[in-house]
Amino acid sequence: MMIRGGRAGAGTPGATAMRKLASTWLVLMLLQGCASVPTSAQQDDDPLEPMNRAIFEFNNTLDGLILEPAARMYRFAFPQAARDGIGNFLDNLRTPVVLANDLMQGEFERAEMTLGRFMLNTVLGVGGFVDVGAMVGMPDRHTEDFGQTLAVYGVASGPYVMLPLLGPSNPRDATGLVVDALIDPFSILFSDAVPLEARLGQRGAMMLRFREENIETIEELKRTSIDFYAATRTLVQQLRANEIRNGAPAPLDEIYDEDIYDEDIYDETFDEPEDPGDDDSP
Amino acid sequence: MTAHDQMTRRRLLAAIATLPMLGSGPRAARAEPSAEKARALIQDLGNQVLEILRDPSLSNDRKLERLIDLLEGPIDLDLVARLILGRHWRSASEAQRQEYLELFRGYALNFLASKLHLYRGQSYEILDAQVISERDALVTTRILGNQGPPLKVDWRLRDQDGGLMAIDVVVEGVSLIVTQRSEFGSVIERDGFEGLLAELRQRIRQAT
Repeated sequence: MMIRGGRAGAGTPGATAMRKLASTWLVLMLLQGCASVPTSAQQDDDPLEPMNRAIFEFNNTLDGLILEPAARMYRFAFPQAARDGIGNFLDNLRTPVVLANDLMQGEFERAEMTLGRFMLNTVLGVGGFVDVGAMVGMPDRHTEDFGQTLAVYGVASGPYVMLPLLGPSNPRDATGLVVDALIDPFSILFSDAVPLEARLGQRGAMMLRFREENIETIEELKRTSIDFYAATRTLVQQLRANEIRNGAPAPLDEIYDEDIYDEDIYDETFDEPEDPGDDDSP
Repeated sequence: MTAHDQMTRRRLLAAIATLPMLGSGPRAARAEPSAEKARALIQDLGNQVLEILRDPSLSNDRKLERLIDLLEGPIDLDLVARLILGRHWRSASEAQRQEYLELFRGYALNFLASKLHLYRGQSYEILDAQVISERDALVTTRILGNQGPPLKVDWRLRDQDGGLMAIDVVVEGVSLIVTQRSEFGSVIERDGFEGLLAELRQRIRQAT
């Protein structure tokens, strides 16, 4: 019910101004976007693989030495409820970045949701530690970032790149990271008001929280994957594509090999044995 | 013959093959998937899987056996195996294909066995079922009872000769087929097709 109220508030002067601002942005971005390459879900686009694998190994070593043990200590020291609260607080701090990108993507309903949740959680949720939004039945929290905004405007991701310390990325999303840091009032604008320690603390806490939440997943992936690097790469790419589509299902031809789909029909139609002259085998 | 020629020829053949059907209206041999059927299939399957998983009188081995019996019918494992291989299916010899399909069964079984412990009383609800192509349907579900927010899980179904068959499961946008294809492809590129077969053999041996 509270959500409805939030939506009805869209007509208020503040919201109108925000929409105007956002639509100006939209037009500007669209003009630029027309000139850029269209997106396609390029699977495993990884020309720098040897270097990426080396950096991946480096990151993993550091993870094993520092981040994973820290995540386990964090889990040990704080009960689930406290960790949930910290997670909510960190999410709430990201609101300006999410909101700005919601607007730049023209996702006004999601923007209202983001703003509504921020106000609810900050005021009634003890500065963001309690996700009041979830209690009143708001849809699950979503994230946005400038990499996704660029993707929505048709900028291709470019090749897969493994960044030292920061992990898997690509030129588009790495650009997004920088722009988000510029948008984020906690990182630049208020840099005098927010001491460096606090800002670094926020980053560190975000990493720690992510690692703690994924202790089992990463363990499972390491144990069961045939190739941990390749498995991580495809997971990152698919999750990212899913985020960009805002959870909508991927088109069929992006998921399945179109040719093999054809062949499937082909085989049934002709009931012919496999095609000749196509063997790579020695 | 280059790969491109091959593809063109294939397309052409497929196009010619569909020509006679144009006159006879919709393809008579195959009933198009309906959203209701897709929903019913997942609902039915989900309930039966949960029944097995929740039965305290069954040992893990017994649960696995029952699950395999249950899933054998509505999952087209051979098609799954081929979709995972993607373009590499083409370049494999007939003998390699046969061995791969056989090994894949064992691999899939291990996969299922290794995931069994992940069940901790979760339940699910069906959110939506839709037909997305003349042969494909998509059922959207949510898995509840995990730590954290519910998981969105899509089931991709395809109309095969035996009726609707499940061919892929997509968890929060991560497709099982795409994930496995990436890994298998990576092994093939490094060690060739025989390398993949060896890897699968070794995995199956390790697990048993």
